[in-house]
Amino acid sequence: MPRPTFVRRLTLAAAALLLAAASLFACAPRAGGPLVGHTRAIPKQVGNLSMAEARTGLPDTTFSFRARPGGLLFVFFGFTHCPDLCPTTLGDLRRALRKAGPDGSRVEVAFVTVDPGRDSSETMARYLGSFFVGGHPLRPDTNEQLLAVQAAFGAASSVTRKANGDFDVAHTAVGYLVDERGAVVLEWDYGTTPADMAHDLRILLSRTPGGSR
Amino acid sequence: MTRRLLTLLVSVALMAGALSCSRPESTLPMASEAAVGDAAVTLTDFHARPSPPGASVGAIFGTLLSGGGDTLIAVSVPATVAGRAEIHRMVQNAAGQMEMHAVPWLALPEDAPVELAPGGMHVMLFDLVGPLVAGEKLTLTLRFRTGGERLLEVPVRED
Repeated sequence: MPRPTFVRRLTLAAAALLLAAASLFACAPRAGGPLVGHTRAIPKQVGNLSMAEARTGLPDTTFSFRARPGGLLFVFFGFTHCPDLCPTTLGDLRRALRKAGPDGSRVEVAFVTVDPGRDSSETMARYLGSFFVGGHPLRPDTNEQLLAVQAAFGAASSVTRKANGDFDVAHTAVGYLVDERGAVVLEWDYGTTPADMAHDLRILLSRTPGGSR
Repeated sequence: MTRRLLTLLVSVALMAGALSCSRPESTLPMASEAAVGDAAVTLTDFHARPSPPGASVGAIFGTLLSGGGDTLIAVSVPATVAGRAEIHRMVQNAAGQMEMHAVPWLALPEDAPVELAPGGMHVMLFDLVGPLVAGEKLTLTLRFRTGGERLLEVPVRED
Protein backbone atom coordinates (compact mmCIF):
# COMPACT_ATOMS: atom_id res chain seq x y z
CA MET A 1 0.00 0.00 0.00
CA PRO A 2 1.53 3.36 -1.03
CA ARG A 3 2.35 5.60 1.87
CA PRO A 4 0.31 8.77 2.13
CA THR A 5 1.88 11.57 0.10
CA PHE A 6 2.32 13.87 3.08
CA VAL A 7 4.46 11.29 4.90
CA ARG A 8 6.76 11.01 1.87
CA ARG A 9 6.96 14.77 1.67
CA LEU A 10 7.65 15.04 5.34
CA THR A 11 10.48 12.51 5.01
CA LEU A 12 11.94 14.42 2.07
CA ALA A 13 11.64 17.68 3.95
CA ALA A 14 13.46 16.19 6.92
CA ALA A 15 16.17 14.90 4.61
CA ALA A 16 16.52 18.33 3.03
CA LEU A 17 16.84 19.94 6.45
CA LEU A 18 19.49 17.41 7.43
CA LEU A 19 21.36 18.08 4.19
CA ALA A 20 21.28 21.81 4.87
CA ALA A 21 22.57 21.34 8.40
CA ALA A 22 25.24 18.89 7.29
CA SER A 23 26.57 21.08 4.50
CA LEU A 24 26.73 24.08 6.82
CA PHE A 25 28.48 22.05 9.46
CA ALA A 26 30.93 20.36 7.11
CA CYS A 27 32.17 23.39 5.23
CA ALA A 28 31.72 26.31 7.56
CA PRO A 29 35.00 27.81 8.81
CA ARG A 30 36.10 25.64 11.68
CA ALA A 31 35.62 27.72 14.80
CA GLY A 32 36.75 24.92 17.08
CA GLY A 33 38.04 21.50 16.27
CA PRO A 34 41.49 20.13 16.81
CA LEU A 35 44.55 22.27 16.22
CA VAL A 36 46.38 21.60 12.98
CA GLY A 37 49.79 22.31 14.53
CA HIS A 38 51.52 20.10 17.07
CA THR A 39 51.28 20.54 20.81
CA ARG A 40 53.35 18.89 23.51
CA ALA A 41 52.22 17.49 26.84
CA ILE A 42 55.04 19.44 28.45
CA PRO A 43 55.57 22.64 26.43
CA LYS A 44 59.12 23.78 25.81
CA GLN A 45 60.06 26.90 27.75
CA VAL A 46 61.95 29.62 25.88
CA GLY A 47 60.94 32.75 27.79
CA ASN A 48 64.23 33.05 29.66
CA LEU A 49 66.19 33.26 26.40
CA SER A 50 66.96 36.44 24.55
CA MET A 51 68.75 37.67 21.44
CA ALA A 52 69.81 40.93 19.83
CA GLU A 53 66.98 42.56 17.88
CA ALA A 54 67.98 44.61 14.85
CA ARG A 55 66.34 48.03 14.46
CA THR A 56 66.63 50.20 11.39
CA GLY A 57 68.77 53.24 12.15
CA LEU A 58 68.96 52.43 15.87
CA PRO A 59 71.28 50.34 18.03
CA ASP A 60 70.27 46.73 18.55
CA THR A 61 68.04 46.03 21.50
CA THR A 62 67.48 42.84 23.49
CA PHE A 63 64.48 40.71 22.69
CA SER A 64 63.08 37.99 24.97
CA PHE A 65 61.30 35.00 23.47
CA ARG A 66 57.88 35.59 24.94
CA ALA A 67 54.69 37.19 23.63
CA ARG A 68 53.26 40.44 24.89
CA PRO A 69 50.44 40.01 27.43
CA GLY A 70 47.38 38.60 25.69
CA GLY A 71 49.27 37.84 22.51
CA LEU A 72 51.27 35.18 20.71
CA LEU A 73 54.76 35.26 19.28
CA PHE A 74 55.56 33.44 16.03
CA VAL A 75 59.20 32.37 15.76
CA PHE A 76 60.94 31.07 12.64
CA PHE A 77 64.61 30.25 12.08
CA GLY A 78 65.82 31.11 8.59
CA PHE A 79 68.13 33.36 6.59
CA THR A 80 67.74 36.10 4.03
CA HIS A 81 69.55 34.22 1.22
CA CYS A 82 66.72 31.69 1.47
CA PRO A 83 64.92 31.46 -1.89
CA ASP A 84 61.93 29.37 -0.98
CA LEU A 85 61.06 28.23 2.56
CA CYS A 86 61.58 31.52 4.39
CA PRO A 87 59.64 33.81 2.04
CA THR A 88 56.99 31.09 1.64
CA THR A 89 56.51 30.73 5.39
CA LEU A 90 56.58 34.46 6.14
CA GLY A 91 54.22 35.14 3.23
CA ASP A 92 51.84 32.39 4.37
CA LEU A 93 51.85 33.73 7.92
CA ARG A 94 51.08 37.21 6.60
CA ARG A 95 48.06 35.77 4.77
CA ALA A 96 47.03 33.88 7.91
CA LEU A 97 47.16 37.05 10.02
CA ARG A 98 44.96 38.84 7.50
CA LYS A 99 42.49 35.95 7.65
CA ALA A 100 42.54 36.03 11.43
CA GLY A 101 41.06 39.53 11.31
CA PRO A 102 41.57 42.13 14.06
CA ASP A 103 42.95 39.46 16.41
CA GLY A 104 45.83 39.03 13.99
CA SER A 105 47.36 42.18 15.47
CA ARG A 106 47.89 40.25 18.71
CA VAL A 107 50.47 38.08 16.94
CA GLU A 108 54.06 39.28 16.78
CA VAL A 109 56.66 37.80 14.45
CA ALA A 110 60.29 37.00 15.24
CA PHE A 111 62.63 35.88 12.47
CA VAL A 112 65.96 34.49 13.69
CA THR A 113 68.84 34.29 11.24
CA VAL A 114 70.78 31.02 11.31
CA ASP A 115 73.32 32.67 9.01
CA PRO A 116 74.60 35.68 11.01
CA GLY A 117 77.85 35.58 9.02
CA ARG A 118 76.03 36.88 5.96
CA ASP A 119 72.93 38.47 7.51
CA SER A 120 73.77 41.81 9.07
CA SER A 121 71.40 43.56 11.47
CA GLU A 122 70.51 46.00 8.73
CA THR A 123 69.80 43.22 6.23
CA MET A 124 67.61 41.42 8.75
CA ALA A 125 65.64 44.54 9.60
CA ARG A 126 65.01 45.38 5.94
CA TYR A 127 64.11 41.80 5.07
CA LEU A 128 61.57 41.20 7.84
CA GLY A 129 60.26 44.74 7.47
CA SER A 130 59.15 43.88 3.94
CA PHE A 131 56.79 41.24 5.37
CA PHE A 132 55.63 42.71 8.67
CA VAL A 133 55.42 46.07 10.36
CA GLY A 134 56.83 45.79 13.86
CA GLY A 135 58.43 42.36 13.35
CA HIS A 136 61.44 41.32 15.39
CA PRO A 137 64.52 40.60 13.25
CA LEU A 138 66.86 38.64 15.52
CA ARG A 139 70.55 38.04 15.03
CA PRO A 140 72.65 35.92 17.42
CA ASP A 141 75.89 37.46 18.64
CA THR A 142 77.65 34.12 18.84
CA ASN A 143 77.19 30.63 17.50
CA GLU A 144 76.78 29.40 21.08
CA GLN A 145 73.84 31.73 21.57
CA LEU A 146 72.21 30.49 18.36
CA LEU A 147 72.73 26.87 19.41
CA ALA A 148 71.28 27.50 22.88
CA VAL A 149 68.18 29.20 21.54
CA GLN A 150 67.68 26.57 18.85
CA ALA A 151 68.11 23.78 21.38
CA ALA A 152 65.38 25.28 23.56
CA PHE A 153 63.00 25.28 20.59
CA GLY A 154 64.16 21.89 19.33
CA ALA A 155 65.49 23.45 16.14
CA ALA A 156 68.86 23.07 14.45
CA SER A 157 70.75 24.40 11.46
CA SER A 158 74.06 24.25 9.65
CA VAL A 159 75.82 26.60 7.28
CA THR A 160 78.49 25.12 5.01
CA ARG A 161 80.56 26.94 2.45
CA LYS A 162 81.11 24.86 -0.65
CA ALA A 163 84.22 24.78 -2.81
CA ASN A 164 82.60 26.99 -5.46
CA GLY A 165 81.83 29.66 -2.86
CA ASP A 166 78.13 28.88 -2.56
CA PHE A 167 76.63 28.28 0.87
CA ASP A 168 74.60 25.26 1.84
CA VAL A 169 72.20 26.11 4.63
CA ALA A 170 70.12 23.42 6.28
CA HIS A 171 67.60 24.53 8.87
CA THR A 172 64.55 23.40 10.77
CA ALA A 173 61.59 24.97 8.99
CA VAL A 174 59.05 24.65 11.79
CA GLY A 175 57.03 27.71 12.82
CA TYR A 176 56.69 28.09 16.60
CA LEU A 177 54.01 29.92 18.58
CA VAL A 178 55.08 31.15 22.01
CA ASP A 179 52.74 32.55 24.67
CA GLU A 180 53.27 35.41 27.10
CA ARG A 181 54.87 33.08 29.65
CA GLY A 182 57.45 31.90 27.16
CA ALA A 183 55.94 28.45 26.56
CA VAL A 184 55.96 27.03 23.04
CA VAL A 185 52.25 26.30 22.70
CA LEU A 186 52.14 25.18 19.07
CA GLU A 187 54.46 24.03 16.28
CA TRP A 188 53.56 24.21 12.61
CA ASP A 189 55.31 21.96 10.13
CA TYR A 190 56.62 23.63 7.01
CA GLY A 191 53.83 23.89 4.45
CA THR A 192 50.99 24.52 6.91
CA THR A 193 48.49 26.51 4.84
CA PRO A 194 47.47 30.08 5.70
CA ALA A 195 43.92 28.80 6.31
CA ASP A 196 45.15 26.22 8.81
CA MET A 197 47.39 28.79 10.51
CA ALA A 198 44.47 31.20 10.81
CA HIS A 199 42.30 28.41 12.20
CA ASP A 200 44.84 27.59 14.91
CA LEU A 201 45.42 31.26 15.72
CA ARG A 202 41.69 31.84 16.22
CA ILE A 203 41.52 28.95 18.68
CA LEU A 204 44.63 29.95 20.61
CA LEU A 205 43.75 33.65 20.70
CA SER A 206 40.22 32.86 21.86
CA ARG A 207 41.76 31.05 24.83
CA THR A 208 43.87 34.10 25.59
CA PRO A 209 42.03 37.19 26.80
CA GLY A 210 42.83 40.29 24.77
CA GLY A 211 45.50 41.57 27.10
CA SER A 212 46.55 45.17 27.51
CA ARG A 213 46.67 46.11 23.83
CA MET B 1 1.98 24.34 0.06
CA THR B 2 4.00 21.34 1.19
CA ARG B 3 5.59 21.13 -2.25
CA ARG B 4 6.65 24.78 -1.99
CA LEU B 5 8.10 24.18 1.45
CA LEU B 6 10.00 21.17 0.13
CA THR B 7 11.36 23.12 -2.82
CA LEU B 8 12.41 25.90 -0.48
CA LEU B 9 14.14 23.51 1.88
CA VAL B 10 16.03 21.77 -0.92
CA SER B 11 17.09 25.16 -2.31
CA VAL B 12 18.27 26.27 1.11
CA ALA B 13 20.22 23.04 1.48
CA LEU B 14 21.93 23.46 -1.86
CA MET B 15 22.66 27.14 -1.29
CA ALA B 16 24.06 26.46 2.15
CA GLY B 17 26.33 23.84 0.66
CA ALA B 18 27.50 26.12 -2.12
CA LEU B 19 28.01 29.14 0.14
CA SER B 20 29.72 27.43 3.01
CA CYS B 21 32.08 25.61 0.69
CA SER B 22 33.09 28.61 -1.37
CA ARG B 23 36.52 29.91 -0.43
CA PRO B 24 37.34 33.58 -0.56
CA GLU B 25 40.93 32.79 -1.49
CA SER B 26 40.84 30.29 -4.27
CA THR B 27 43.70 27.85 -4.57
CA LEU B 28 43.44 28.06 -8.34
CA PRO B 29 46.39 29.77 -9.97
CA MET B 30 45.58 33.42 -10.37
CA ALA B 31 46.18 35.23 -13.62
CA SER B 32 47.65 32.03 -14.95
CA GLU B 33 50.08 32.58 -17.76
CA ALA B 34 48.51 31.05 -20.82
CA ALA B 35 50.24 27.80 -21.62
CA VAL B 36 53.02 28.74 -24.00
CA GLY B 37 53.70 25.46 -25.67
CA ASP B 38 54.73 23.65 -28.74
CA ALA B 39 54.14 19.96 -29.21
CA ALA B 40 57.14 19.12 -27.07
CA VAL B 41 56.91 20.84 -23.71
CA THR B 42 54.08 22.93 -22.30
CA LEU B 43 55.09 25.54 -19.72
CA THR B 44 52.28 26.68 -17.43
CA ASP B 45 51.96 29.35 -14.77
CA PHE B 46 55.63 30.25 -14.67
CA HIS B 47 56.20 33.18 -12.33
CA ALA B 48 58.93 34.63 -10.17
CA ARG B 49 58.24 35.62 -6.60
CA PRO B 50 59.00 39.23 -5.65
CA SER B 51 62.31 39.31 -3.76
CA PRO B 52 62.37 40.94 -0.33
CA PRO B 53 64.72 43.94 -0.05
CA GLY B 54 68.27 42.86 0.62
CA ALA B 55 67.71 39.35 -0.69
CA SER B 56 70.36 38.24 -3.17
CA VAL B 57 68.43 35.23 -4.39
CA GLY B 58 65.10 34.66 -6.09
CA ALA B 59 62.90 31.78 -7.15
CA ILE B 60 60.82 30.96 -10.21
CA PHE B 61 57.97 28.47 -10.03
CA GLY B 62 55.83 26.83 -12.73
CA THR B 63 54.81 23.55 -14.31
CA LEU B 64 56.37 21.65 -17.21
CA LEU B 65 54.57 19.01 -19.23
CA SER B 66 56.32 17.05 -21.94
CA GLY B 67 54.20 15.34 -24.55
CA GLY B 68 56.88 12.89 -25.63
CA GLY B 69 59.24 12.82 -22.66
CA ASP B 70 62.30 15.06 -22.40
CA THR B 71 64.89 16.35 -19.95
CA LEU B 72 65.42 19.91 -18.82
CA ILE B 73 69.19 20.31 -18.85
CA ALA B 74 69.76 24.00 -18.20
CA VAL B 75 68.05 27.22 -17.20
CA SER B 76 69.32 30.77 -17.52
CA VAL B 77 68.28 34.38 -17.17
CA PRO B 78 69.90 37.50 -18.63
CA ALA B 79 72.96 38.81 -16.79
CA THR B 80 70.99 42.00 -16.19
CA VAL B 81 68.65 39.98 -13.91
CA ALA B 82 70.87 37.58 -11.96
CA GLY B 83 74.37 36.11 -11.92
CA ARG B 84 73.16 32.60 -12.66
CA ALA B 85 70.21 30.27 -12.46
CA GLU B 86 69.96 26.66 -11.34
CA ILE B 87 67.21 24.15 -10.68
CA HIS B 88 67.00 23.38 -6.96
CA ARG B 89 65.05 20.94 -4.87
CA MET B 90 64.15 21.21 -1.16
CA VAL B 91 64.49 17.98 0.80
CA GLN B 92 64.19 17.10 4.46
CA ASN B 93 67.35 15.51 5.83
CA ALA B 94 67.57 12.76 8.44
CA ALA B 95 67.72 15.38 11.20
CA GLY B 96 64.42 16.85 10.07
CA GLN B 97 66.05 19.98 8.67
CA MET B 98 65.27 21.32 5.22
CA GLU B 99 68.15 21.35 2.77
CA MET B 100 68.43 22.56 -0.78
CA HIS B 101 70.16 20.60 -3.49
CA ALA B 102 71.01 21.60 -7.02
CA VAL B 103 69.32 19.42 -9.61
CA PRO B 104 71.75 19.06 -12.54
CA TRP B 105 69.01 17.92 -14.91
CA LEU B 106 65.30 17.35 -14.56
CA ALA B 107 63.58 14.37 -16.20
CA LEU B 108 60.20 15.16 -17.76
CA PRO B 109 58.33 11.87 -18.14
CA GLU B 110 55.89 11.61 -21.01
CA ASP B 111 52.57 13.29 -20.21
CA ALA B 112 53.37 13.65 -16.49
CA PRO B 113 53.42 17.25 -15.27
CA VAL B 114 56.50 18.24 -13.29
CA GLU B 115 55.80 21.03 -10.86
CA LEU B 116 58.23 23.59 -9.56
CA ALA B 117 56.44 24.77 -6.43
CA PRO B 118 57.25 26.17 -2.96
CA GLY B 119 58.68 23.49 -0.70
CA GLY B 120 59.60 21.34 -3.70
CA MET B 121 61.62 22.54 -6.67
CA HIS B 122 62.29 25.99 -8.08
CA VAL B 123 64.55 27.78 -10.51
CA MET B 124 66.94 29.53 -8.17
CA LEU B 125 68.37 32.88 -9.20
CA PHE B 126 71.72 33.72 -7.62
CA ASP B 127 73.22 37.18 -7.24
CA LEU B 128 70.19 39.21 -8.21
CA VAL B 129 71.25 42.42 -9.92
CA GLY B 130 68.21 44.19 -8.50
CA PRO B 131 65.09 43.19 -6.59
CA LEU B 132 62.39 41.25 -8.43
CA VAL B 133 59.45 43.62 -8.33
CA ALA B 134 55.83 42.53 -8.71
CA GLY B 135 54.45 43.54 -12.08
CA GLU B 136 57.77 43.31 -13.88
CA LYS B 137 58.84 40.52 -16.19
CA LEU B 138 62.04 38.63 -16.86
CA THR B 139 63.11 36.27 -19.60
CA LEU B 140 63.79 32.66 -18.65
CA THR B 141 65.60 30.38 -21.06
CA LEU B 142 65.11 26.62 -20.75
CA ARG B 143 67.24 24.12 -22.63
CA PHE B 144 66.07 20.60 -23.26
CA ARG B 145 67.97 17.42 -24.11
CA THR B 146 66.09 17.00 -27.37
CA GLY B 147 67.88 20.13 -28.48
CA GLY B 148 65.08 22.58 -28.01
CA GLU B 149 65.55 25.90 -26.32
CA ARG B 150 62.64 27.93 -25.08
CA LEU B 151 62.46 31.56 -24.08
CA LEU B 152 59.67 32.47 -21.71
CA GLU B 153 58.49 35.81 -20.39
CA VAL B 154 58.05 35.22 -16.67
CA PRO B 155 55.95 37.71 -14.68
CA VAL B 156 56.94 38.63 -11.14
CA ARG B 157 54.03 38.23 -8.75
CA GLU B 158 52.99 36.86 -5.38
CA ASP B 159 52.02 33.18 -5.49
